[in-house]
Amino acid sequence: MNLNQKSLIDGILEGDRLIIGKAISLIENGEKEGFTLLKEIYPLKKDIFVLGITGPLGVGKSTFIDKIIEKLTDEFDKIGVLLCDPSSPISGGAFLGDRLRLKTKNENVFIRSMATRTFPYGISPSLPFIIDLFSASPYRNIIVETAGIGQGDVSIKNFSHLTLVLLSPLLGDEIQFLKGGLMEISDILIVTKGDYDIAEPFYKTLKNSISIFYNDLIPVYMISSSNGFGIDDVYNEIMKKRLDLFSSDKYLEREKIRRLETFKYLLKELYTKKMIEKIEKEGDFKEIEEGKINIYQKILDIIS
Amino acid sequence: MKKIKVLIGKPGLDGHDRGAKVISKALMEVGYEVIYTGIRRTPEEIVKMAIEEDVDAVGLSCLSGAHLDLFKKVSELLKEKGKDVLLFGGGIIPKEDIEILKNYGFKKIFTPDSSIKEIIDFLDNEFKSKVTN
Ligand code: B12
Ligand SMILES: Nc1nc2c(ncn2[C@@H]2O[C@H](COP(=O)(O)OP(=O)(O)O)[C@@H](O)[C@H]2O)c(=O)[nH]1
Ligand SMILES: [Mg+2]
Repeated sequence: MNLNQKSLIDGILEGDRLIIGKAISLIENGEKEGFTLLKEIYPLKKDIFVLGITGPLGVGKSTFIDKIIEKLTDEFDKIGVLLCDPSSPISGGAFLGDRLRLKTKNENVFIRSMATRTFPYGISPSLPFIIDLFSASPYRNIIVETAGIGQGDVSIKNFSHLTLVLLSPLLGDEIQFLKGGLMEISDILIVTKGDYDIAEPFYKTLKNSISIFYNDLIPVYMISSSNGFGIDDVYNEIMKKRLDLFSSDKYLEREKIRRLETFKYLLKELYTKKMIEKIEKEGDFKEIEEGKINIYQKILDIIS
Repeated sequence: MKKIKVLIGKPGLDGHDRGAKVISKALMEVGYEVIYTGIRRTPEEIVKMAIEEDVDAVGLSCLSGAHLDLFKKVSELLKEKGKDVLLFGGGIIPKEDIEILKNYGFKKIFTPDSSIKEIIDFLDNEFKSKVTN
């Protein structure tokens, strides 16, 4: 199919499934056409709300999304879902399996899986640009699931307006989560798999720690996606925080961060690649391999 | 960089998912991005996924005997929605049905005597020219 720029833009504005699907690929594959398209739609962006859902592998992120999606579609006309899953660092391929947990057949939901393409922070490197793409589409309430993350993978925070961190009671004590990063990015903390007996004590100690170290500033919930326990409460908390965001300066503050971080990603993604290509073309790679170039001198020349 | 994306789909009520999973994993290991639908999907759901994921190929798996109707429906819906993809499939499929499925637009059908290597070779050959670095 041959799509010109104009029909691409119209398709995105109208929410055409086929066209949005193709446009995401253009961006994901780093094609110039994709960024030209983003340039065109940048002035057409509208307010978007991004709900980030993160946590370690297997904690129940996808299953939880399956549960709240039905509620969200009752409240909002259109919902976008972006599911990040890891690429194999060995083959570069990926097995994108999040989607199999989502049972919704709702035509107003647009779901896309994204391989991290060995980007290390639990998100796809093109996630920030794809969020901008959705800002011009009718899908302006977005759920993002990260790949399973560990301590320090906090990138998602920069691109979401509300970040939910999911923790599994099966993973041991709560102290490790208090240490690195994950606490600082959570707007809501959720203990999953509440149908297991060990969930309740884990939830209680976690709640206790939060009250000691964070002055109860982060709400903590326990849920079970198997029997539905706590799902309504979390949903209500999300809606409460969403309202609070839009009725205060907080939304604009988060948007400032998102815009700047997106620009930094552009630099990293495109500018760095371009530099590498340029240096390679000039033939310097060969000389670097053979030790004929002082790499520190080279970099000083570039950045000065 | 362009990656080849493949949707592996299980239409209908058939619960045999080993083959679909084995193929998904094997394709991942040679560099494809594979989206697995999970079992018990309707043709409509599979086609919606193929469009949203903008896949290059759709591979259907069926071991229950319902392949003729289900594969046909998927192929028809893809055409109706304007999604152009390579169609292929596999499972417990009698020889005489393979020709019928080819007429529905399925380029190749693999049965239990096909090796994983044959399936990979088939896709590699189809997409050789499409992969750029
Ligand atoms: C294991 C098995 C089961 C397991 C399934 C476990 C699971 N989660 O998958 C269990 C015990 C649950 C089961 C149940 C049933 N089974 Co059963 N099962 C089998 C068996 C023995 C092996 C299937 C298998 O896993 N093979 C290994 C995988 C790797 O091979 P494969 O799936 O065939 O895939 C290969 C190719 O077909 C091809 N391929 C397959 N899909 C795709 C997709 C693409 C895109 C590509 C490119 C290639 C491809 O590539 C693979 C590699 O070569 C077969 C008999 C047989 N020998 O095939 C019967 C068989 C499939 N079962 C059968 C039946 C009838 C049933 C039941 C209805 C029995 C009952 N009365 O309860 C139930 C139905 C379950 C359900 N919900 O659908 C019949 C189907 C008859 C038919 N089609 O006419 C078979 C053929 C047995 C028989 N000879 O009667 N079964
Ligand atoms: N018992 C129980 N299992 C769950 C619950 N939520 C998810 N699971 C299971 O945990 C596994 C991983 O879930 P998934 O949503 O894929 O986790 P993700 O990797 O965080 O997306 C699956 O087998 C789910 O069925 C729950 O609330 N209770
Ligand atoms: Mg998941």
